[in-house]
Amino acid sequence: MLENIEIVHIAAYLGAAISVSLASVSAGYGEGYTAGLANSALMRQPKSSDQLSRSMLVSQAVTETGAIFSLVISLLLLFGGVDRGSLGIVRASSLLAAGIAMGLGSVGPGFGSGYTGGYACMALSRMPKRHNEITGNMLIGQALAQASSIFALVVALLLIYAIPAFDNLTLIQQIIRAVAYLGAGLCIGFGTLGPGTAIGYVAGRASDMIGRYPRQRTLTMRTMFVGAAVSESTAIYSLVIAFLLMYAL
Amino acid sequence: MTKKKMLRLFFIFFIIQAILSIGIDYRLNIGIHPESGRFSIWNTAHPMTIQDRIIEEFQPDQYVKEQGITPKIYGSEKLYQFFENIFGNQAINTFSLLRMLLILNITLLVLALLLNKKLTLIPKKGQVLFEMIHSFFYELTSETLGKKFANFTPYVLTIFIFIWSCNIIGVIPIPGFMEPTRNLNVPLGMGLMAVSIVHYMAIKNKGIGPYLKGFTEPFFPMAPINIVGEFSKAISISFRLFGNILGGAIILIVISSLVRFILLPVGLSLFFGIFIGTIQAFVFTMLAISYIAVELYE
Repeated sequence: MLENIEIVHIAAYLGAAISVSLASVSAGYGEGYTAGLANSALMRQPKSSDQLSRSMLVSQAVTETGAIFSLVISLLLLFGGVDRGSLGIVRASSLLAAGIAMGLGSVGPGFGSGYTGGYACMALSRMPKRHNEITGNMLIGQALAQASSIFALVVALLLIYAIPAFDNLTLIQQIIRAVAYLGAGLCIGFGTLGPGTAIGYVAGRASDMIGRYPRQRTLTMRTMFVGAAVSESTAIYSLVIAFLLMYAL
Repeated sequence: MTKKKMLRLFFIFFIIQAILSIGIDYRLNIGIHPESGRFSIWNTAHPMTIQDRIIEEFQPDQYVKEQGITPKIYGSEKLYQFFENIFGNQAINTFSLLRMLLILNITLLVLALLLNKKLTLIPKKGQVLFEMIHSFFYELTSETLGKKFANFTPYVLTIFIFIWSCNIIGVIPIPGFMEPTRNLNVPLGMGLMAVSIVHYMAIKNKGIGPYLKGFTEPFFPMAPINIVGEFSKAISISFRLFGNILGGAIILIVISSLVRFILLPVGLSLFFGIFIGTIQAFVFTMLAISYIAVELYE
Protein backbone atom coordinates (compact mmCIF):
# COMPACT_ATOMS: atom_id res chain seq x y z
CA MET A 1 0.00 0.00 0.00
CA LEU A 2 1.00 3.60 -0.46
CA GLU A 3 2.06 5.62 2.52
CA ASN A 4 0.12 8.76 3.44
CA ILE A 5 2.92 11.09 2.41
CA GLU A 6 3.26 9.46 -1.01
CA ILE A 7 -0.42 9.96 -1.77
CA VAL A 8 -0.02 13.64 -0.91
CA HIS A 9 2.96 13.95 -3.26
CA ILE A 10 1.15 12.20 -6.12
CA ALA A 11 -1.85 14.48 -5.72
CA ALA A 12 0.30 17.62 -5.59
CA TYR A 13 2.19 16.74 -8.79
CA LEU A 14 -1.02 15.79 -10.61
CA GLY A 15 -2.68 19.01 -9.46
CA ALA A 16 0.29 21.10 -10.64
CA ALA A 17 0.17 19.52 -14.10
CA ILE A 18 -3.62 19.94 -14.43
CA SER A 19 -3.50 23.56 -13.27
CA VAL A 20 -0.86 24.85 -15.64
CA SER A 21 -1.91 22.80 -18.68
CA LEU A 22 -5.60 23.76 -18.59
CA ALA A 23 -4.73 27.42 -18.08
CA SER A 24 -2.38 27.51 -21.06
CA VAL A 25 -5.17 26.38 -23.43
CA SER A 26 -7.27 29.48 -23.08
CA ALA A 27 -4.44 31.98 -22.47
CA GLY A 28 -2.79 30.89 -25.70
CA TYR A 29 -6.03 31.03 -27.65
CA GLY A 30 -6.96 34.43 -26.24
CA GLU A 31 -3.60 36.01 -26.97
CA GLY A 32 -3.64 34.63 -30.48
CA TYR A 33 -7.15 36.00 -31.05
CA THR A 34 -6.03 39.45 -29.89
CA ALA A 35 -2.97 39.36 -32.15
CA GLY A 36 -5.06 38.26 -35.15
CA LEU A 37 -7.61 41.04 -34.78
CA ALA A 38 -4.79 43.51 -34.12
CA ASN A 39 -3.30 42.51 -37.47
CA SER A 40 -6.49 43.15 -39.37
CA ALA A 41 -6.90 46.42 -37.45
CA LEU A 42 -3.38 47.39 -38.51
CA MET A 43 -4.27 46.95 -42.17
CA ARG A 44 -7.31 49.18 -41.73
CA GLN A 45 -5.31 51.98 -40.07
CA PRO A 46 -1.55 51.55 -40.77
CA LYS A 47 -0.68 55.03 -39.48
CA SER A 48 -1.56 54.25 -35.86
CA SER A 49 0.63 51.15 -35.74
CA ASP A 50 2.48 52.32 -32.61
CA GLN A 51 -0.67 52.68 -30.58
CA LEU A 52 -2.11 49.43 -31.90
CA SER A 53 0.90 47.31 -31.07
CA ARG A 54 1.20 48.93 -27.64
CA SER A 55 -2.39 48.24 -26.77
CA MET A 56 -2.09 44.69 -28.17
CA LEU A 57 0.90 44.01 -25.90
CA VAL A 58 -0.84 45.44 -22.83
CA SER A 59 -3.97 43.41 -23.48
CA GLN A 60 -1.93 40.23 -23.97
CA ALA A 61 -0.10 40.85 -20.70
CA VAL A 62 -3.42 41.25 -18.90
CA THR A 63 -4.82 38.15 -20.61
CA GLU A 64 -1.92 36.19 -19.20
CA THR A 65 -2.96 36.99 -15.62
CA GLY A 66 -5.02 33.80 -15.28
CA ALA A 67 -2.15 31.69 -16.61
CA ILE A 68 0.25 33.39 -14.18
CA PHE A 69 -2.10 32.57 -11.30
CA SER A 70 -2.12 28.91 -12.38
CA LEU A 71 1.66 28.90 -12.70
CA VAL A 72 1.88 30.23 -9.15
CA ILE A 73 -0.48 27.57 -7.82
CA SER A 74 1.42 24.82 -9.60
CA LEU A 75 4.79 26.12 -8.35
CA LEU A 76 3.36 26.24 -4.83
CA LEU A 77 2.14 22.67 -5.24
CA LEU A 78 5.56 21.56 -6.50
CA PHE A 79 7.89 23.47 -4.18
CA GLY A 80 5.80 25.24 -1.57
CA GLY A 81 6.28 22.82 1.30
CA VAL A 82 2.70 21.63 1.10
CA ASP A 83 3.43 18.22 2.56
CA ARG A 84 4.31 19.57 5.98
CA GLY A 85 1.67 18.46 8.47
CA SER A 86 0.05 15.96 6.12
CA LEU A 87 -3.41 14.53 6.68
CA GLY A 88 -3.33 11.58 4.28
CA ILE A 89 -6.14 11.18 1.80
CA VAL A 90 -7.96 14.37 2.88
CA ARG A 91 -4.85 16.48 2.30
CA ALA A 92 -4.20 14.75 -1.02
CA SER A 93 -7.67 15.48 -2.31
CA SER A 94 -7.47 19.11 -1.21
CA LEU A 95 -4.21 19.61 -3.14
CA LEU A 96 -5.62 17.94 -6.25
CA ALA A 97 -8.76 20.08 -5.92
CA ALA A 98 -6.64 23.24 -5.71
CA GLY A 99 -4.96 22.34 -9.01
CA ILE A 100 -8.27 21.54 -10.70
CA ALA A 101 -9.92 24.72 -9.37
CA MET A 102 -7.19 27.04 -10.62
CA GLY A 103 -6.76 25.24 -13.95
CA LEU A 104 -10.46 25.21 -14.84
CA GLY A 105 -11.00 28.62 -13.29
CA SER A 106 -8.58 30.38 -15.61
CA VAL A 107 -10.00 28.87 -18.81
CA GLY A 108 -13.01 31.15 -19.17
CA PRO A 109 -11.25 34.46 -18.37
CA GLY A 110 -8.53 33.64 -20.90
CA PHE A 111 -11.03 33.33 -23.75
CA GLY A 112 -12.96 36.37 -22.54
CA SER A 113 -9.97 38.67 -22.11
CA GLY A 114 -8.64 37.69 -25.53
CA TYR A 115 -11.98 38.55 -27.13
CA THR A 116 -12.04 41.91 -25.34
CA GLY A 117 -8.49 42.74 -26.40
CA GLY A 118 -9.19 41.85 -30.03
CA TYR A 119 -12.30 44.00 -30.30
CA ALA A 120 -10.59 46.87 -28.49
CA CYS A 121 -7.89 46.77 -31.20
CA MET A 122 -10.59 46.88 -33.90
CA ALA A 123 -12.20 49.86 -32.16
CA LEU A 124 -8.81 51.58 -31.98
CA SER A 125 -8.34 51.24 -35.70
CA ARG A 126 -11.77 52.78 -36.27
CA MET A 127 -11.28 55.73 -33.86
CA PRO A 128 -7.54 56.21 -33.17
CA LYS A 129 -8.03 59.59 -31.48
CA ARG A 130 -10.07 58.05 -28.67
CA HIS A 131 -7.32 55.61 -27.69
CA ASN A 132 -7.33 56.61 -24.00
CA GLU A 133 -11.00 55.82 -23.51
CA ILE A 134 -10.89 52.60 -25.52
CA THR A 135 -7.81 51.27 -23.74
CA GLY A 136 -9.26 52.21 -20.35
CA ASN A 137 -12.51 50.45 -21.15
CA MET A 138 -10.58 47.41 -22.38
CA LEU A 139 -8.59 47.20 -19.13
CA ILE A 140 -11.74 47.52 -17.01
CA GLY A 141 -13.51 44.85 -19.07
CA GLN A 142 -10.61 42.44 -18.83
CA ALA A 143 -10.35 43.05 -15.10
CA LEU A 144 -14.08 42.31 -14.74
CA ALA A 145 -13.67 39.12 -16.78
CA GLN A 146 -10.81 38.01 -14.57
CA ALA A 147 -12.76 38.42 -11.35
CA SER A 148 -13.90 34.81 -11.72
CA SER A 149 -10.33 33.52 -12.02
CA ILE A 150 -9.57 35.45 -8.83
CA PHE A 151 -12.39 33.59 -7.07
CA ALA A 152 -10.70 30.38 -8.23
CA LEU A 153 -7.35 31.66 -6.90
CA VAL A 154 -8.91 32.39 -3.51
CA VAL A 155 -10.45 28.91 -3.31
CA ALA A 156 -7.19 27.26 -4.41
CA LEU A 157 -5.10 29.18 -1.85
CA LEU A 158 -7.61 28.27 0.87
CA LEU A 159 -7.53 24.62 -0.22
CA ILE A 160 -3.73 24.60 0.00
CA TYR A 161 -3.17 26.58 3.20
CA ALA A 162 -6.39 26.81 5.22
CA ILE A 163 -7.81 23.30 5.50
CA PRO A 164 -9.23 22.74 9.00
CA ALA A 165 -7.36 19.99 10.86
CA PHE A 166 -9.35 16.99 12.08
CA ASP A 167 -8.09 14.20 14.30
CA ASN A 168 -9.35 10.63 14.53
CA LEU A 169 -11.53 10.47 11.45
CA THR A 170 -12.80 7.07 10.37
CA LEU A 171 -12.12 5.96 6.80
CA ILE A 172 -15.68 6.77 5.65
CA GLN A 173 -15.49 10.26 7.16
CA GLN A 174 -12.12 10.81 5.50
CA ILE A 175 -13.56 9.80 2.12
CA ILE A 176 -16.54 12.13 2.62
CA ARG A 177 -14.26 15.09 3.38
CA ALA A 178 -11.97 14.22 0.46
CA VAL A 179 -14.90 14.15 -1.97
CA ALA A 180 -16.23 17.40 -0.53
CA TYR A 181 -12.92 19.16 -1.22
CA LEU A 182 -12.79 17.74 -4.75
CA GLY A 183 -16.35 18.94 -5.21
CA ALA A 184 -15.39 22.44 -4.06
CA GLY A 185 -12.57 22.56 -6.61
CA LEU A 186 -14.77 21.29 -9.44
CA CYS A 187 -17.59 23.63 -8.43
CA ILE A 188 -15.59 26.84 -8.60
CA GLY A 189 -13.70 25.60 -11.68
CA PHE A 190 -16.75 24.84 -13.82
CA GLY A 191 -18.76 27.68 -12.31
CA THR A 192 -16.33 30.29 -13.59
CA LEU A 193 -16.09 28.93 -17.16
CA GLY A 194 -19.25 30.62 -18.41
CA PRO A 195 -19.07 33.98 -16.58
CA GLY A 196 -15.43 34.57 -17.57
CA THR A 197 -16.13 34.07 -21.26
CA ALA A 198 -19.42 35.96 -21.11
CA ILE A 199 -18.02 39.06 -19.40
CA GLY A 200 -15.24 39.08 -21.97
CA TYR A 201 -17.90 39.10 -24.69
CA VAL A 202 -19.76 41.96 -22.98
CA ALA A 203 -16.58 44.02 -22.58
CA GLY A 204 -15.41 43.33 -26.14
CA ARG A 205 -18.71 44.49 -27.63
CA ALA A 206 -18.68 47.54 -25.34
CA SER A 207 -15.18 48.49 -26.53
CA ASP A 208 -16.28 48.08 -30.14
CA MET A 209 -19.30 50.31 -29.57
CA ILE A 210 -17.18 52.97 -27.85
CA GLY A 211 -15.11 53.00 -31.02
CA ARG A 212 -18.24 53.53 -33.12
CA TYR A 213 -20.21 55.94 -30.91
CA PRO A 214 -17.67 57.65 -28.60
CA ARG A 215 -20.22 60.16 -27.31
CA GLN A 216 -22.39 57.42 -25.79
CA ARG A 217 -19.46 56.23 -23.67
CA THR A 218 -21.05 56.61 -20.22
CA LEU A 219 -24.21 54.80 -21.35
CA THR A 220 -22.17 51.95 -22.85
CA MET A 221 -20.00 51.59 -19.77
CA ARG A 222 -22.99 51.57 -17.45
CA THR A 223 -24.68 48.87 -19.51
CA MET A 224 -21.42 46.93 -19.53
CA PHE A 225 -21.15 47.07 -15.75
CA VAL A 226 -24.74 45.96 -15.19
CA GLY A 227 -24.45 43.13 -17.72
CA ALA A 228 -21.14 41.98 -16.25
CA ALA A 229 -22.53 42.05 -12.71
CA VAL A 230 -25.56 39.96 -13.71
CA SER A 231 -23.47 37.38 -15.57
CA GLU A 232 -21.04 37.26 -12.69
CA SER A 233 -23.77 36.22 -10.25
CA THR A 234 -23.53 32.56 -11.29
CA ALA A 235 -19.80 32.58 -10.46
CA ILE A 236 -20.72 34.01 -7.04
CA TYR A 237 -23.24 31.17 -6.54
CA SER A 238 -20.46 28.64 -7.15
CA LEU A 239 -18.14 30.55 -4.81
CA VAL A 240 -20.75 30.32 -2.05
CA ILE A 241 -21.29 26.59 -2.69
CA ALA A 242 -17.52 25.98 -2.68
CA PHE A 243 -17.17 27.74 0.69
CA LEU A 244 -20.08 25.70 2.06
CA LEU A 245 -18.47 22.45 0.85
CA MET A 246 -15.15 23.41 2.41
CA TYR A 247 -16.19 24.76 5.79
CA ALA A 248 -19.85 24.02 6.57
CA LEU A 249 -19.95 20.23 6.28
CA MET B 1 35.07 46.41 -24.48
CA THR B 2 32.52 46.53 -27.25
CA LYS B 3 28.90 45.54 -26.96
CA LYS B 4 29.41 42.39 -29.03
CA LYS B 5 32.23 41.15 -26.81
CA MET B 6 30.17 41.79 -23.70
CA LEU B 7 27.25 39.86 -25.15
CA ARG B 8 29.50 36.94 -26.13
CA LEU B 9 30.99 36.84 -22.64
CA PHE B 10 27.57 36.80 -21.08
CA PHE B 11 26.50 34.04 -23.46
CA ILE B 12 29.51 31.86 -22.62
CA PHE B 13 28.94 32.48 -18.93
CA PHE B 14 25.29 31.56 -19.34
CA ILE B 15 26.17 28.25 -21.05
CA ILE B 16 28.65 27.38 -18.28
CA GLN B 17 25.91 28.24 -15.84
CA ALA B 18 23.40 25.99 -17.57
CA ILE B 19 25.84 23.07 -17.67
CA LEU B 20 26.70 23.49 -14.02
CA SER B 21 23.10 23.72 -12.94
CA ILE B 22 22.46 20.18 -14.17
CA GLY B 23 24.09 18.96 -10.97
CA ILE B 24 21.34 19.80 -8.51
CA ASP B 25 22.01 21.81 -5.38
CA TYR B 26 25.25 23.43 -6.48
CA ARG B 27 25.83 27.16 -6.59
CA LEU B 28 28.26 28.95 -8.87
CA ASN B 29 30.58 31.54 -7.33
CA ILE B 30 32.74 34.06 -9.11
CA GLY B 31 35.37 36.21 -7.42
CA ILE B 32 38.40 35.75 -5.17
CA HIS B 33 38.68 32.12 -4.11
CA PRO B 34 38.93 31.92 -0.31
CA GLU B 35 41.64 29.20 -0.33
CA SER B 36 43.90 29.91 -3.28
CA GLY B 37 43.40 33.68 -3.19
CA ARG B 38 43.08 33.95 -6.98
CA PHE B 39 40.27 35.28 -9.14
CA SER B 40 38.35 32.22 -10.31
CA ILE B 41 35.00 30.51 -10.85
CA TRP B 42 34.05 27.60 -8.60
CA ASN B 43 30.93 25.98 -7.25
CA THR B 44 29.82 25.09 -3.75
CA ALA B 45 27.02 23.00 -2.36
CA HIS B 46 23.88 25.08 -1.94
CA PRO B 47 22.71 25.27 1.66
CA MET B 48 18.97 25.65 0.95
CA THR B 49 16.44 23.85 -1.24
CA ILE B 50 13.76 25.76 -3.16
CA GLN B 51 11.15 24.66 -0.63
CA ASP B 52 13.17 26.14 2.22
CA ARG B 53 13.70 29.37 0.35
CA ILE B 54 9.99 29.82 -0.41
CA ILE B 55 9.10 29.16 3.21
CA GLU B 56 11.83 31.53 4.41
CA GLU B 57 10.56 34.26 2.10
CA PHE B 58 6.82 33.94 2.62
CA GLN B 59 6.40 32.33 6.05
CA PRO B 60 9.51 33.55 7.89
CA ASP B 61 8.05 32.89 11.32
CA GLN B 62 7.44 29.23 10.52
CA TYR B 63 10.95 28.96 9.06
CA VAL B 64 12.56 30.46 12.15
CA LYS B 65 10.59 28.10 14.37
CA GLU B 66 11.48 25.02 12.31
CA GLN B 67 15.19 25.80 12.07
CA GLY B 68 15.51 27.04 15.63
CA ILE B 69 17.33 30.28 14.74
CA THR B 70 17.03 33.59 16.51
CA PRO B 71 16.04 36.22 13.93
CA LYS B 72 18.72 38.82 13.33
CA ILE B 73 16.69 41.57 11.72
CA TYR B 74 15.61 43.12 15.00
CA GLY B 75 19.10 43.88 16.28
CA SER B 76 18.39 42.74 19.82
CA GLU B 77 16.50 39.99 21.61
CA LYS B 78 14.41 42.49 23.57
CA LEU B 79 12.91 44.05 20.46
CA TYR B 80 11.97 40.62 19.13
CA GLN B 81 10.27 39.75 22.41
CA PHE B 82 8.40 43.06 22.27
CA PHE B 83 7.07 42.35 18.79
CA GLU B 84 6.29 38.72 19.56
CA ASN B 85 4.17 39.80 22.52
CA ILE B 86 2.09 42.03 20.23
CA PHE B 87 1.83 40.09 16.97
CA GLY B 88 2.35 36.51 18.19
CA ASN B 89 2.77 34.07 15.34
CA GLN B 90 3.29 36.70 12.64
CA ALA B 91 5.99 38.80 14.34
CA ILE B 92 8.66 38.84 11.61
CA ASN B 93 6.13 39.18 8.79
CA THR B 94 4.43 42.14 10.42
CA PHE B 95 7.69 43.78 11.38
CA SER B 96 9.10 43.68 7.85
CA LEU B 97 5.79 44.91 6.41
CA LEU B 98 5.67 47.85 8.82
CA ARG B 99 9.31 48.68 8.11
CA MET B 100 8.67 48.75 4.36
CA LEU B 101 5.56 50.89 4.76
CA LEU B 102 7.50 53.32 6.94
CA ILE B 103 10.31 53.60 4.38
CA LEU B 104 7.80 54.17 1.58
CA ASN B 105 5.75 56.75 3.43
CA ILE B 106 8.78 58.74 4.53
CA THR B 107 10.14 58.72 0.97
CA LEU B 108 6.84 59.93 -0.46
CA LEU B 109 6.48 62.59 2.24
CA VAL B 110 9.99 63.93 1.68
CA LEU B 111 9.43 63.96 -2.06
CA ALA B 112 6.17 65.86 -1.65
CA LEU B 113 7.74 68.42 0.72
CA LEU B 114 10.73 68.98 -1.57
CA LEU B 115 8.49 69.47 -4.60
CA ASN B 116 6.12 71.76 -2.73
CA LYS B 117 8.95 74.03 -1.64
CA LYS B 118 10.18 74.79 -5.15
CA LEU B 119 6.88 75.41 -6.94
CA THR B 120 7.28 78.03 -9.67
CA LEU B 121 4.98 79.46 -12.29
CA ILE B 122 7.36 78.39 -15.04
CA PRO B 123 7.86 74.74 -14.06
CA LYS B 124 11.19 72.98 -13.91
CA LYS B 125 11.93 69.33 -14.69
CA GLY B 126 10.49 67.60 -11.60
CA GLN B 127 7.48 69.86 -11.45
CA VAL B 128 6.66 69.20 -15.13
CA LEU B 129 6.72 65.46 -14.57
CA PHE B 130 4.36 65.60 -11.61
CA GLU B 131 2.09 68.13 -13.30
CA MET B 132 1.80 65.78 -16.27
CA ILE B 133 0.85 62.90 -14.00
CA HIS B 134 -1.66 65.08 -12.19
CA SER B 135 -3.28 66.38 -15.35
CA PHE B 136 -3.51 62.84 -16.78
CA PHE B 137 -5.44 61.69 -13.70
CA TYR B 138 -7.49 64.89 -13.61
CA GLU B 139 -8.65 64.21 -17.16
CA LEU B 140 -9.33 60.56 -16.36
CA THR B 141 -11.40 61.45 -13.30
CA SER B 142 -13.34 64.28 -14.89
CA GLU B 143 -14.11 62.14 -17.95
CA THR B 144 -15.35 59.20 -15.92
CA LEU B 145 -17.10 60.96 -13.05
CA GLY B 146 -18.02 64.21 -14.77
CA LYS B 147 -16.64 67.73 -14.18
CA LYS B 148 -18.80 68.04 -11.05
CA PHE B 149 -16.90 65.29 -9.24
CA ALA B 150 -13.39 66.18 -10.40
CA ASN B 151 -12.52 66.79 -6.75
CA PHE B 152 -11.93 63.03 -6.53
CA THR B 153 -8.57 63.57 -8.27
CA PRO B 154 -6.43 63.73 -5.07
CA TYR B 155 -7.82 60.40 -3.84
CA VAL B 156 -7.33 58.74 -7.23
CA LEU B 157 -3.80 60.11 -7.62
CA THR B 158 -2.90 59.05 -4.07
CA ILE B 159 -4.00 55.43 -4.47
CA PHE B 160 -2.22 55.21 -7.82
CA ILE B 161 1.08 56.62 -6.55
CA PHE B 162 0.96 54.58 -3.34
CA ILE B 163 0.20 51.25 -5.05
CA TRP B 164 2.63 51.93 -7.87
CA SER B 165 5.51 52.70 -5.53
CA CYS B 166 4.55 49.67 -3.43
CA ASN B 167 4.77 47.47 -6.54
CA ILE B 168 8.07 48.73 -7.92
CA ILE B 169 10.00 48.95 -4.67
CA GLY B 170 10.80 45.23 -4.92
CA VAL B 171 13.02 45.96 -7.92
CA ILE B 172 15.62 47.68 -5.70
CA PRO B 173 18.11 44.91 -4.86
CA ILE B 174 18.50 45.35 -1.13
CA PRO B 175 17.99 42.30 1.12
CA GLY B 176 14.73 42.55 3.00
CA PHE B 177 13.11 44.92 0.50
CA MET B 178 9.72 43.39 -0.22
CA GLU B 179 6.64 44.78 -1.93
CA PRO B 180 4.13 45.74 0.78
CA THR B 181 1.33 44.71 -1.62
CA ARG B 182 2.63 41.14 -1.36
CA ASN B 183 1.06 41.00 2.10
CA LEU B 184 -2.69 40.54 1.74
CA ASN B 185 -3.51 43.11 4.44
CA VAL B 186 -2.35 46.09 2.36
CA PRO B 187 -4.44 45.43 -0.83
CA LEU B 188 -7.41 44.32 1.27
CA GLY B 189 -7.26 47.58 3.22
CA MET B 190 -7.12 49.61 0.00
CA GLY B 191 -9.99 47.59 -1.48
CA LEU B 192 -12.21 47.98 1.60
CA MET B 193 -11.48 51.72 1.60
CA ALA B 194 -12.49 52.00 -2.07
CA VAL B 195 -15.70 50.01 -1.54
CA SER B 196 -16.67 52.06 1.52
CA ILE B 197 -16.18 55.27 -0.47
CA VAL B 198 -18.42 53.77 -3.17
CA HIS B 199 -21.18 53.08 -0.65
CA TYR B 200 -20.80 56.46 1.02
CA MET B 201 -21.19 58.16 -2.35
CA ALA B 202 -24.21 55.97 -3.13
CA ILE B 203 -25.97 56.94 0.13
CA LYS B 204 -25.07 60.61 -0.31
CA ASN B 205 -26.25 60.66 -3.90
CA LYS B 206 -29.44 58.59 -3.71
CA GLY B 207 -30.57 58.88 -0.08
CA ILE B 208 -30.76 56.02 2.37
CA GLY B 209 -34.15 54.63 1.29
CA PRO B 210 -33.45 54.09 -2.42
CA TYR B 211 -29.96 52.85 -1.48
CA LEU B 212 -31.39 50.06 0.68
CA LYS B 213 -34.06 49.35 -1.91
CA GLY B 214 -31.33 48.82 -4.51
CA PHE B 215 -30.28 45.65 -2.72
CA THR B 216 -33.68 44.00 -3.28
CA GLU B 217 -33.57 44.30 -7.06
CA PRO B 218 -34.84 42.64 -9.24
CA PHE B 219 -36.94 41.01 -6.50
CA PHE B 220 -36.68 40.62 -2.74
CA PRO B 221 -35.19 37.08 -2.32
CA MET B 222 -32.11 38.21 -4.31
CA ALA B 223 -30.95 40.41 -1.39
CA PRO B 224 -28.36 37.94 0.08
CA ILE B 225 -26.82 37.38 -3.36
CA ASN B 226 -26.57 41.15 -3.92
CA ILE B 227 -24.84 41.62 -0.56
CA VAL B 228 -22.36 38.82 -1.34
CA GLY B 229 -21.81 40.52 -4.69
CA GLU B 230 -20.85 43.77 -2.94
CA PHE B 231 -18.29 41.90 -0.82
CA SER B 232 -16.97 40.17 -3.92
CA LYS B 233 -16.16 43.63 -5.33
CA ALA B 234 -13.71 44.24 -2.48
CA ILE B 235 -12.34 40.70 -2.74
CA SER B 236 -11.79 40.77 -6.48
CA ILE B 237 -10.22 44.24 -6.55
CA SER B 238 -7.73 43.41 -3.79
CA PHE B 239 -6.93 39.78 -4.64
CA ARG B 240 -6.12 40.78 -8.23
CA LEU B 241 -3.32 43.06 -7.01
CA PHE B 242 -2.19 40.62 -4.31
CA GLY B 243 -2.15 37.60 -6.66
CA ASN B 244 -0.18 39.36 -9.35
CA ILE B 245 2.52 40.70 -7.04
CA LEU B 246 2.80 37.49 -5.00
CA GLY B 247 2.91 35.49 -8.22
CA GLY B 248 5.76 37.60 -9.54
CA ALA B 249 7.72 37.13 -6.31
CA ILE B 250 7.24 33.33 -6.24
CA ILE B 251 8.12 32.92 -9.92
CA LEU B 252 11.25 35.03 -9.35
CA ILE B 253 12.42 32.89 -6.43
CA VAL B 254 11.84 29.57 -8.22
CA ILE B 255 13.40 30.66 -11.51
CA SER B 256 16.41 32.29 -9.87
CA SER B 257 17.00 29.08 -7.93
CA LEU B 258 16.84 27.09 -11.16
CA VAL B 259 19.33 29.32 -13.05
CA ARG B 260 21.50 29.96 -9.97
CA PHE B 261 20.73 33.69 -9.69
CA ILE B 262 22.32 34.72 -12.98
CA LEU B 263 21.15 37.07 -15.75
CA LEU B 264 17.57 35.86 -16.21
CA PRO B 265 16.20 37.04 -12.84
CA VAL B 266 17.16 40.65 -13.60
CA GLY B 267 14.93 40.82 -16.66
CA LEU B 268 12.14 38.93 -14.92
CA SER B 269 12.34 41.25 -11.94
CA LEU B 270 12.06 44.28 -14.23
CA PHE B 271 9.10 42.69 -16.07
CA PHE B 272 7.15 41.79 -12.95
CA GLY B 273 8.14 44.87 -10.98
CA ILE B 274 7.78 47.65 -13.52
CA PHE B 275 5.48 46.37 -16.29
CA ILE B 276 3.02 44.22 -14.32
CA GLY B 277 3.29 46.52 -11.29
CA THR B 278 2.33 49.61 -13.31
CA ILE B 279 -0.51 47.85 -15.15
CA GLN B 280 -1.99 46.44 -11.94
CA ALA B 281 -1.76 49.80 -10.13
CA PHE B 282 -3.58 51.42 -13.06
CA VAL B 283 -6.21 48.67 -13.16
CA PHE B 284 -6.88 49.09 -9.43
CA THR B 285 -7.29 52.85 -9.87
CA MET B 286 -9.56 52.51 -12.91
CA LEU B 287 -11.76 49.95 -11.13
CA ALA B 288 -12.07 52.16 -8.06
CA ILE B 289 -13.12 55.15 -10.20
CA SER B 290 -15.59 53.18 -12.26
CA TYR B 291 -17.22 51.55 -9.20
CA ILE B 292 -17.84 55.10 -7.95
CA ALA B 293 -19.11 56.19 -11.39
CA VAL B 294 -21.65 53.35 -11.53
CA GLU B 295 -23.10 54.39 -8.17
CA LEU B 296 -23.23 58.06 -9.16
CA TYR B 297 -25.07 57.66 -12.47
CA GLU B 298 -27.32 54.66 -11.91
